[in-house]
Amino acid sequence: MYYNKAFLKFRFRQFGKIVRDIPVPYLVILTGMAVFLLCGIYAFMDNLTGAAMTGGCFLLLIWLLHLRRNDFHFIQLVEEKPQQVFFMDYWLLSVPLFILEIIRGYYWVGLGVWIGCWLISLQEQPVRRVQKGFSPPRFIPEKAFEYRTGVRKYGWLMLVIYGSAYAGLPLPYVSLVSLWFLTCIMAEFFCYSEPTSILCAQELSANRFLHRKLNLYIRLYFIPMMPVCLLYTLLHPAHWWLAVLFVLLGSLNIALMVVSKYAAYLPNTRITGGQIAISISLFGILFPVLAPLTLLLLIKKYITARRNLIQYLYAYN
Amino acid sequence: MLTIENLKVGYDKEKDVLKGICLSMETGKIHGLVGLNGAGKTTLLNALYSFIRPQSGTILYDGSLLKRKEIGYLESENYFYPYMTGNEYLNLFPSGGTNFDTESWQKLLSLPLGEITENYSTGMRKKLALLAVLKMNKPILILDEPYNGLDLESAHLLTLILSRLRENGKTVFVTSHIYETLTTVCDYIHYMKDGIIASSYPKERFGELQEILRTTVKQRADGAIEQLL
Repeated sequence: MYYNKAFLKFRFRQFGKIVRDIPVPYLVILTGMAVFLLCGIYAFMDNLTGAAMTGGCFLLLIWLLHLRRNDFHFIQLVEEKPQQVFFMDYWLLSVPLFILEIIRGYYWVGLGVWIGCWLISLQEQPVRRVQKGFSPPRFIPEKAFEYRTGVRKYGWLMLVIYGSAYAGLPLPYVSLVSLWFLTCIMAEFFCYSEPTSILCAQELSANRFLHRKLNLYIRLYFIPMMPVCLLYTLLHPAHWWLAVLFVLLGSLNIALMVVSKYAAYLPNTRITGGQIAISISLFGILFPVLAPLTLLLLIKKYITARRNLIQYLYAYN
Repeated sequence: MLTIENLKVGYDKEKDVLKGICLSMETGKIHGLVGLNGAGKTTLLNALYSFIRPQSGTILYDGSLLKRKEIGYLESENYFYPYMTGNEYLNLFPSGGTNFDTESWQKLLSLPLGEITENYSTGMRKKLALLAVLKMNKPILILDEPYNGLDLESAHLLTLILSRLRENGKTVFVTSHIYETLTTVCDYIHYMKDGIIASSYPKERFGELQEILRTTVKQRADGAIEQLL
């Protein structure tokens, strides 16, 4: 009991720290989005099927989390009862859903979710050897290593989404939404700072480095997007402006991803800063009223990126 | 000639890590750098590579200011980009005006260049990073702890590679905590202490340095180990 109290305290402290680190405007937006999501789930749970499906989806997500969590082997090594730690994590995450289930009167579905969490926590995670994954297509040059490694990691998912963009061409909007999902996945490509050996490999000044990166990645963005957008325009001529707007806003977002990465660049680290700004900006593709925000962020991050890169690349001026 | 004149480097204003290093080094030779932990070895190498801007002092190479473009730098810790293969990492580096025979190097160093670098052992990572530095074919090479993580065979191979680089007229700086690796390959060893070069030894006087190191350790550890264990 004492053990669980200590663990709960630790998790609440962690959560509190994460929340404190989020700037207030972003926190407000995230809270709004969370409330919106919970309302949507609540509305969906108005019958037994909805409640069960919600519980099932939640357990699926928890299972995927359990299989992919990076601290699994560490917790197994350091904790006497690692399954207890895992179960406590998943139980904490399930509390909002359990509350909704009780309100809806399906408390036994919530109990089923808890039992599912407990069973998942008992599952062993195999020691993983990083798989080589999907082979990047030839049109991605080797200097575009963010794209190459990203496609290697998410290639199959991207292929399915890209395929759905072509499959959805006869219907209005579907292809563009698929391409939007593809653009969202690309945000993950720029979440890691390369070591200084790679940064300095091309021996470019900060300005030239940044311009070449932007040029390269925006050009590479066009290659998969243009065929779909052109076909979409042919099939839906009245929506030609949507396709043009999508390509423009998508390119702005790719540029923002690149400069955000180098604005927060610290060698060999995962980039956590700026992700909320990028998320909001990605929504700006679907809601163009947010486009001025993307442009402002792009300018701000470009200036920061240039200043940050100068400290590593000043010797090449 | 590589000349360091009164080099001062610090990470904060109050304390200098390098306290006015003065050193002249013959080019086309292998120079070893030894010293206790915290002596400033890596800081000196970073200053040579212009990773850190010195507070004062100059570094001259053949009379003009040393440029980073003249240096190939192997860091002590070797990192790569997630999901990147060895081949992809190597191809990011220009080949310095020569035909770099990747396949032959791959066979020599037994490197699985088609594999993702996450699956590399420590020694493989070191070898891959070293290969990239060699590919760039710079006149000056700075190798920070190049022997770390290498097996016996690879360590011997590295010694042969360094000797060949010297024959080709390259200037090499090497740091290592394994004294014997330096005495085998270096022409000079420079001993760093408290942010300055305390002394420099040519090959014929390496025995003197060994004696100094032995005496220093004996003074610190005299009786302590017997008491503790």
